Amino acid sequence: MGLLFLQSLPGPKVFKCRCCKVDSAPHDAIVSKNFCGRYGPAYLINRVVNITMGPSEDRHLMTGWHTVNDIFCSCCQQLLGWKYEKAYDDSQKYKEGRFVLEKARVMKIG
Amino acid sequence: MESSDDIESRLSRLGSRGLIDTTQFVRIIIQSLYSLGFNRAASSLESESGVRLDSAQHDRLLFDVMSGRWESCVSTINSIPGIDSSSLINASYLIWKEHFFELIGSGCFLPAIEVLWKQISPLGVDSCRVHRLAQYLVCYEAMGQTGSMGSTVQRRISLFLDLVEVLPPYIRVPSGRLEKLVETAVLKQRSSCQYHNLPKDITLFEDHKCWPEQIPSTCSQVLLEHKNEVWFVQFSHNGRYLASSSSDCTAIIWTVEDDDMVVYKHCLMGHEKPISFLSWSPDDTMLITCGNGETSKLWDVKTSTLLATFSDPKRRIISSCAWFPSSDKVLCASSEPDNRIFTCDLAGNVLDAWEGERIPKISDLAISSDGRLVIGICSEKTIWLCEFPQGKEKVIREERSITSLSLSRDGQFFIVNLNSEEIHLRKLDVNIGDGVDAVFKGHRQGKYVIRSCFGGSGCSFVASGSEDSKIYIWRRKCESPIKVLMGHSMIVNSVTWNPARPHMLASASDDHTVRIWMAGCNPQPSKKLGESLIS
Repeated sequence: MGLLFLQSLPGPKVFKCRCCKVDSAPHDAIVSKNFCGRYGPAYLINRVVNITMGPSEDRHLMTGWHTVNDIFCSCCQQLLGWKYEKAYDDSQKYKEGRFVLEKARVMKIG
Repeated sequence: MESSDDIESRLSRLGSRGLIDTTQFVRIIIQSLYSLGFNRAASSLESESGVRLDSAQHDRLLFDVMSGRWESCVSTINSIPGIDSSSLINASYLIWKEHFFELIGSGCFLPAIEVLWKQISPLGVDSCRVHRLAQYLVCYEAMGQTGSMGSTVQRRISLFLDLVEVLPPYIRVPSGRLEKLVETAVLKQRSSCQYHNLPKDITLFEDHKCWPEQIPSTCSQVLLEHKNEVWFVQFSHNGRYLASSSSDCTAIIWTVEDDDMVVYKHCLMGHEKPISFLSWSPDDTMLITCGNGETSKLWDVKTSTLLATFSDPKRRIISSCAWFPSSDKVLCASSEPDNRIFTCDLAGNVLDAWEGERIPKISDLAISSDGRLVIGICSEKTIWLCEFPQGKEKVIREERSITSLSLSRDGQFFIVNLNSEEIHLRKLDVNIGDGVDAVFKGHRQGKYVIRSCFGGSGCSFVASGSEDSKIYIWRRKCESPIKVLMGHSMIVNSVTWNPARPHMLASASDDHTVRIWMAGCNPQPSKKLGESLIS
């Protein structure tokens, strides 16, 4: 791969990828801490950096049908969570455009 | 001899759309024949076509001005059809002013006052000018400034030329009109020519059109010496060397021979980490290489010896550096643990530094070719322009992250590559507004640092690498690429256009190669025909 373009996050508290330690998300972009990911507890977060997205898929989650994209760390390709592309239930519309970040795949710094 | 009725019975309009009036066309031709010196041809054209170069009013006016018959001048002007009132006033003012000056010059003050009172003031021109004319009545010395350049004849000739400028253009054909029309058409063709890269003589016999082969289009060489991904290439300022840097921790200098072949010169070894950035000194004798998360090293180009290492006790990472035009100082930006911008000399001694809370993390740095402006990319989304050493600053925010920066050779413009697969072109000036001058799209970029460059003769093209292993070339005025070069098998990290040879482009890719692209040559059918006739 060529020279990876890595964004660095300012601010005292950030989440970094557990494997390769690049910045993944700022702490103040958290919307909810009580989410359930595929592999355990997760955060709902507004903004992530240094990720690549997988293809769009329709998945049946606990809260209904959604169109999601898996997100991977751009440095080590580890699966970090997914992005909500579209929610088919009106009560779930608030999730659109936001990301789910598995707590087990990131570590909190600061 | 044909009379002028015959010219009207011919086509009164020329051209495929009937836009050109035949009489005007013939007048312009006559005027250019006179100006080329073909007086006999011009006058026989006048008699044959019945069209006179100068209108009747023109001759009468010339006669009246030269003989000083001012009243009939004014009546001639009044008789010009289609003249508007402001031109009429200006022309009358000029005539009466000349009369006034001549009267003062010959000492007849009372008639001069009468002219001022009866002819000039009723015209309604700006009253300050009228008052200044009245001052000349009193003060002789002031006349010396405006008045008496040369004799009466010369003054009347210059009055006539001034008059002709104020009156409508059909009175007298402006000089050089035909040449000006042809030049406008040729310039328009040249600026709309898409592939105009190599300078070519303008011929009037056919429309100017450059072929797509005139910009680099075919791969002429594949350079295999690197053992790992090649991340950066750049030609030297004089176009005679090429430097490439790779993630195999080496940089290679190549020579560009006279026959456009690129030949291996030496390999610079000494870094322990992949080299992400290199920079030629403005006089092309030295090269700085920056390791990725490591120190920078200064090399001599001719002998490939290591001259200096820029490191400091705190082991900061130098992310990018730029040369001053005098080739003796370097501006570096470093980060981690704290952000710092510093100038240092060629031995590595720090001369000057800015550090502290306010200094942002700079990922890319450049200095304009006259050394006055520093431009940096801060915190990935902000462009920071600063007059050096202390001066005005300008901060421009971009919507998406900026991955790289490149300046044009004339120091007027710069381009930034954004993560959103766009390249933005802006003017390099502290006083510009925030708007983008041009946007280029079509390439792919998302994860990696992709570099682009200006190029071609006059820096009229922009080229960029891309994550889909192709090279995209745009014309500066157009958003979509005019050419896409294929040949690499992995992402193209960086492209560079030879500043001295606009037909040569080099590209660096993850497939371990550097490719050289050349423009194809033009077919020259007329030459071949000549040879076959002789043989």
